[in-house]
Amino acid sequence: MCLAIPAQILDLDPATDSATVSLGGVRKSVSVALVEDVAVGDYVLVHVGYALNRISPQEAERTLALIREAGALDAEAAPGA
Amino acid sequence: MSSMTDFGGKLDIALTRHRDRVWVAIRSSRPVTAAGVFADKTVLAATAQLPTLYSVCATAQAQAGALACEAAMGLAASAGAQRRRQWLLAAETAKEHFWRLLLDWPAALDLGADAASMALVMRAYRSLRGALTAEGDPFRPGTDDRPGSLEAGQASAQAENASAALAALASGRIFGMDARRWLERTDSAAGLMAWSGVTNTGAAVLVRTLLKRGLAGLGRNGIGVLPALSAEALSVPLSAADAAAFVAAPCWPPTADGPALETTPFARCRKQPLVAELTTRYGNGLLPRLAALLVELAEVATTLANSGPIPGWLETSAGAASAAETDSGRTAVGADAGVGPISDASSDMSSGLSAGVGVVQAARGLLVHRVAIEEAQVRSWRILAPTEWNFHPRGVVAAGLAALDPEDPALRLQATLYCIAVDPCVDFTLSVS
Repeated sequence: MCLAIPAQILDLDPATDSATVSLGGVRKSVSVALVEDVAVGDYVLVHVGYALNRISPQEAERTLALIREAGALDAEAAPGA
Repeated sequence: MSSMTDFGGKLDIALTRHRDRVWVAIRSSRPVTAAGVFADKTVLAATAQLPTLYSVCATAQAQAGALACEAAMGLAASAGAQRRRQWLLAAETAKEHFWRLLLDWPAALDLGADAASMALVMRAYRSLRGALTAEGDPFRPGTDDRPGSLEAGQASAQAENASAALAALASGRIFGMDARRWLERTDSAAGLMAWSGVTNTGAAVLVRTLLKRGLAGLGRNGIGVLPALSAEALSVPLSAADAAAFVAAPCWPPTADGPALETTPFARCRKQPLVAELTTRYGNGLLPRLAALLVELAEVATTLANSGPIPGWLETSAGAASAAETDSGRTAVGADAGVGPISDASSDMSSGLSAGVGVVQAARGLLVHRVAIEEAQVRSWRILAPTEWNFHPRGVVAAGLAALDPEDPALRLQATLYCIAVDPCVDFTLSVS
């Protein structure tokens, strides 16, 4: 499905409009060209290398909890699991 | 799934040159059964969480989910809520088509993405969504009107302004002229060529580039398009014992070795005059696919600019929200009952268990939800998404990639471009050996 994953911004590089984010504990570089006024510590939804929206920490946690729940289910349903 | 970063899933596409042809293998790790997370939740909780989980096409997902729940529960949303749903669905389709035209296609052709314009699109879309959801969730199953509110169809100034901004971005950044005028001028291949020759938008450059580089027919193949299917027909494989296998690799008819068909913007508007003429020249290759995106965006932009009726290819599904059967013995009503939500024929009313199917044309193609509900609790929830049709191991992308020239030094670039053109929605890796 077309999923976007919450990630926290760890570092911003205004020169390249990019950010280093923590995505499930993994550091990843994403573009922040499509979102406005983001700062280090903010949460954003990430999809195919772009930050789509800024979301609140509470929304991020709710979304992550749902993804964890769904992920566990999907792993159970996967072939060979 | 091994980690949070993997949860979105991806497609692994392997090309192998073998003598005079390309062998293709597509493997998917997309979480096609993740909707099972909604089982045992209340309908209201599940429908509220649905767009949180599927946030990229959140509107189409919410719409399909709401239609399915309403069908199962014998509910209908008010006319005002339906109008807001359709408005948001049109805007989401525009947003996704902008993404393809401003970011994905130019990047794949090494022309440079236009993130600045896409940022403006995202701002307008967020503003519209905020305005149309400020006074309540239009996707809450059975939501009703509140006189004087947006649900009564009174669009706020913010929603009107955001719609106008999206339409203006289509005109200014894509077409170089009013979208309606573009549709009139480019109703033939000659018209499209003439437009691309005198326009300096990135989209016009895309058309010129495909023609100049001889890519207009790239990837043409014989895979057919998914016919119009009734919700009733779709509900059969979605409720069968092997439904999980069906949603992972759907065929129609839904047999193990059935044809893997295509559901995309190209499939939707292949009979539109421009796309049809291009198809006679280039089959289902790249230029007809690009033209389909342009035509759909122009039609949606025209709607957004004038607050007019949404295009038929969107209205057909979303407009049928009230055309629900409440059990297998009643007949659906409404102009497009054949493609709207229904209650599943296997519903067991005596136990209080009922099921419904919602069908929506999302930006990338047909999106189907099937829910089973008992006393306002979800018992099962399945989603059939367009990527599973289009990136089926024997589907249109597999066939398009197999049609590429194994001797061409640009094989990898061409394969990337073809995948982007059909649009996987998720990350993909491409290996060539």
